[in-house]
Amino acid sequence: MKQLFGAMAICLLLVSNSFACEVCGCAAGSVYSGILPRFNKNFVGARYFYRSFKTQHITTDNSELYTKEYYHTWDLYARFYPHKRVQIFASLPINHNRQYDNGALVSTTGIGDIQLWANYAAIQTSDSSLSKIKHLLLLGGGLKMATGESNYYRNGNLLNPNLQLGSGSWDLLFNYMYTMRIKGWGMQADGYAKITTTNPAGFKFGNRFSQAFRGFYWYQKNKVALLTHINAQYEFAFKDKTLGETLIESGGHTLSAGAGLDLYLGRFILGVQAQQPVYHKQAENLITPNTRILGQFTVLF
Amino acid sequence: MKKVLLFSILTSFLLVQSCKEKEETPTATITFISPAEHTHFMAGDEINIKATIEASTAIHGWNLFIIHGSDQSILFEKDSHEHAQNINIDESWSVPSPITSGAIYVKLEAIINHDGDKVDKSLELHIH
Repeated sequence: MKQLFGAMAICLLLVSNSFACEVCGCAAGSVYSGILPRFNKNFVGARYFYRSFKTQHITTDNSELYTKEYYHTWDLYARFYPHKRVQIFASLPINHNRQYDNGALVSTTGIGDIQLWANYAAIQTSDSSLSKIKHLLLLGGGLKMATGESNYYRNGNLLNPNLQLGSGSWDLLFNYMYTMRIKGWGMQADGYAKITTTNPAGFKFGNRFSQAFRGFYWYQKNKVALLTHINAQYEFAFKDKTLGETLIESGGHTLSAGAGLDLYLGRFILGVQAQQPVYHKQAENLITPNTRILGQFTVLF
Repeated sequence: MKKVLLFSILTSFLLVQSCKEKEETPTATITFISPAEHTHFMAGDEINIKATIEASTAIHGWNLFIIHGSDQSILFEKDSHEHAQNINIDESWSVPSPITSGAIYVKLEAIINHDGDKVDKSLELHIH
């Protein structure tokens, strides 16, 4: 058992390093979920989420000026069932944001914006032993709180809103998740919306929407199970506004494809996933997103 | 299990460390074209400041100040968030009347990045 854990951890290390330090940009992420483990169980866990971007700055003499942004998030998250059809989620992110700009490194570290949301199982046939096709439809909504620092100054200058630890705004979250499973095979469609509000500094991140389709295969032997999955995800962000003025160089959309592997060992889950943008137009093509990596460690109870 | 959790944290920490890249800070050369150093001006004269900034890569802009030598007061201030590798500055300022005679300094700063790194050069002039 220990060897298996060790192998997975080494895998995570290798995958992580292979994607690290590619060119990089700006956090425009939507709510992330992915395939959540064992829908009928409570869990607590920790996720690590890595994104990087390369941002081009327009120059007046056609010379090149780029900055690179790296976003690391360690997310403590939990799911509880107060009722058999109701799930409550909580997420406490700890962010570490870095921007490289002409030899200077600007970084911020600290607690991000806490998210709380609830899902209602509108359709749930997974408990039925008669049905070969199992369905689960979750509908939910929640709140992203303004708990992360959004007024971070450095050398007298207010940092770019994308480098702040939080957005400074209280935002509404909506989501749905439909999962269909036939024996070990399954598919999932999930969509998320973040309806943003203006923060105290007058900045409003654009509303964000995300739609993902995932396919997975579940293989189990005794107490050990493997969940392999592939996904395609489309994200759209409206343009940001500052003091009511639309920021032209913001917003956009990204289509990504990815794959991942989760290892279930009894009540413990270790997972890794990578996602590569295959088509994107962010901030009028000034921002190039790179590979994202997600690692998770979850304990069911 | 604690070892696994510790290893996972260590792994993500290593990823953060692996992303710490070392980037050279660009250099910039400021050249004043006009006026010539120690030129004398009278109250009411217009001072036309022409200068160039040539950087090793594109920079984030420039600040221009005219500072009175007697009390370090700022007589004129202009900034530009112009991203470029080669920048031409052409600004004018009329010497107000009356004004305390003495040395004034034209200070031009090339803004290398948004973290406070700058290259500056000053030019001494005299007003009467």
